[in-house]
Amino acid sequence: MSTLASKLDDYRCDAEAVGLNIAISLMYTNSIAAFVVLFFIGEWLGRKRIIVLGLVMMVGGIVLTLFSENLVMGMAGLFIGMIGVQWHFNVSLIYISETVAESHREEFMVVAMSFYGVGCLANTGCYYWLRDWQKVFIYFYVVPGVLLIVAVMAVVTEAPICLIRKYAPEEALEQFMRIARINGVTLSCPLRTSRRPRSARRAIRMRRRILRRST
Amino acid sequence: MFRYPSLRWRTLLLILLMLTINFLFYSPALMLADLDFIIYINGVVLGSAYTVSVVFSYYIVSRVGRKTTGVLSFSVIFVLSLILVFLWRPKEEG
Repeated sequence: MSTLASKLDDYRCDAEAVGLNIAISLMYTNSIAAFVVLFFIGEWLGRKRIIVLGLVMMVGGIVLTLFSENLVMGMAGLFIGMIGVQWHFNVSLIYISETVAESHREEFMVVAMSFYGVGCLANTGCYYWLRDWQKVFIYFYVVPGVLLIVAVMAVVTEAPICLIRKYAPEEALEQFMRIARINGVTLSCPLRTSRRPRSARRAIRMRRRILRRST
Repeated sequence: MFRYPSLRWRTLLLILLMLTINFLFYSPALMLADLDFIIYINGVVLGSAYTVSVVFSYYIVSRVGRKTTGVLSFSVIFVLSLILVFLWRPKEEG
């Protein structure tokens, strides 16, 4: 016969379990939230910024979970972090499809996608090795996340096709030149980036004049 | 996406396809917990299955094409899911 204390314990466990399931279900809605927001800001921000923003959100969310004092805060941190993960994971694949030549695209995709599986295996190994979720979060999510933010900002160029779609041909040309410089290639066609078109020069002059008058 | 009839049908079918793929991926992943496996073995099983499937599908797709690969893989999944459904589940019996 079970005592009152054990019954109360059972009820508390059940309540916690139900609450946890609801929290986990709510957390899984991050994909929907991530893609809905991405639909509106994807073209506006560009590929590089979305990847960086996703990484920042991932690191921020994980830090929030690490320092959370209750379940709601922890789940909120994971929710934000997972939105960031969805953004940089999916936009990275889009970035590959936009920047890599069609002849090599499949190989790039296969390498990128297979490393997702390798990441799952490494994740399991890390948990098995350390047996402490907080240490795993710090050593294998936060530190590489911060390093990735720095690396992406320093190395990755904005996708030129995305800039062309945003009606920014000069910036697209700059990115093409940068990519060519990294590859040690000289562009065959003579490209002029130093001098802006006459209409743009006139617009800049007018803007400066207005600014001078206002000050 | 929805303006042209051909794109409309493709979009709707792709939505259905992604929904099914996610069900097929996450349902067995959640069911693995019922099979009394250790959580680390679950991770190893899922991670290695994902890696092997991506590399394997690359070779298959380059030889027989996307459509045939899709139909073949769904047929394999159908058979394997039926086997999984009728698997002995130790937790329920205990």
